[in-house]
Amino acid sequence: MRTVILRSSDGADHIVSSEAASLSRTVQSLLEELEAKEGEESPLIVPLPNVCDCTLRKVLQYCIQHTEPGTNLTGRIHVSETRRRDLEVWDRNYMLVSTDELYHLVMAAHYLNVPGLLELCCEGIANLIRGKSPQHVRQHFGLVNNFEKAEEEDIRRTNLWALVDEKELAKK
Amino acid sequence: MDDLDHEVLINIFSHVGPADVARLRAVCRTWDAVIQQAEVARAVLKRTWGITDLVGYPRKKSLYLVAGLSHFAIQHTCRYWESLTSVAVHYNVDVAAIRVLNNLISEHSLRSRQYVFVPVQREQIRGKAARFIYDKVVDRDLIIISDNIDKLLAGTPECEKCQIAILDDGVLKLSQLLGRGLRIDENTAKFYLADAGGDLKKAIKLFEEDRRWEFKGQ
Repeated sequence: MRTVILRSSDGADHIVSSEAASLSRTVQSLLEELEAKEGEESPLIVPLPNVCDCTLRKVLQYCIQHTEPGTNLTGRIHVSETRRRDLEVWDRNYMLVSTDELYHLVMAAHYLNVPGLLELCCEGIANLIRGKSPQHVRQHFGLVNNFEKAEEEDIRRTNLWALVDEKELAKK
Repeated sequence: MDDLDHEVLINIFSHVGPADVARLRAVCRTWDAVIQQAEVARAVLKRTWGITDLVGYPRKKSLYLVAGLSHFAIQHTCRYWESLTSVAVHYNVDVAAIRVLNNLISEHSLRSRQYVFVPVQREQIRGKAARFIYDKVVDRDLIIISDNIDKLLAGTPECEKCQIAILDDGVLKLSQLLGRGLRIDENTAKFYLADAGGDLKKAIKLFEEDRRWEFKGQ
């Protein structure tokens, strides 16, 4: 099995199997280019200037976990029921991160184009958002309310049905 | 968090429920803009109900988010030997529920319908293909579901054709009726009826409006 070196934005190298690295479509296409240019023998170094070291480490955890025996290369997963359940549990534990980490992770997943991870992260963020009031969401994610007062009032009025339970949420 | 790509935001929003999406519009401008895209609403609807494919568009955009169980139905093509009860037994639903959904007052008014809409349970919707329709006969915005997406793609236009066919046949009788009622000749009645798109009440209203205008002129 061939190994690949992924270099994060702060210059740290991570050595992984090409299978795991190919879960990222961005890396996969870069690898194909590199192979065509430099031939089969030379070491493959992929610089990833948009991903910091700790995030890359986290992403690779996912890639390695999801390319263990039983998973085939094309990304279409033919796995036994037990293995699938194990992965689900693993994914759930994997998502136990701070909001900040999650944010960096979703950015990295988008940049590296790892479909499974992106889906997982989006679901994780959606879980954080679900059932929260707009103020709460703003606080939680550090967003700025850039509406004009009248504009916000208008949106609130047209979506009143969704806001009725807001007071109940605030009580909790 | 405010520099997330739109693609990613759409993905995130498609995971939360309809009420959440409507509420999240008030968070900030970027989110509002993303949520207003039809893509998000479609994804939310599909995920909430477990629909595999979604065909067509609703008349009002709000239907995406406020769609409830009462908007979903199966379109059942009536055969001449069928009665309301047999349809109800076939789909295991209440006769009264079918009547309400189809505005059927009596049993024999089923004879005038090409198809009836049958209410569904929540579990029945999961894994089906769906299509937005507006039905003139029952005057409802509905989402009809089917196992087979090709059926949905091909089926409905044919039904619309049927409706027009009825209209042509019925137009003569209707215009006679309208002419007698308003004491105008048949051709004038036909004109108003065509203007109102075959709606008798609207035709009467249009005629009365014109007459009022005429009297004002004098």
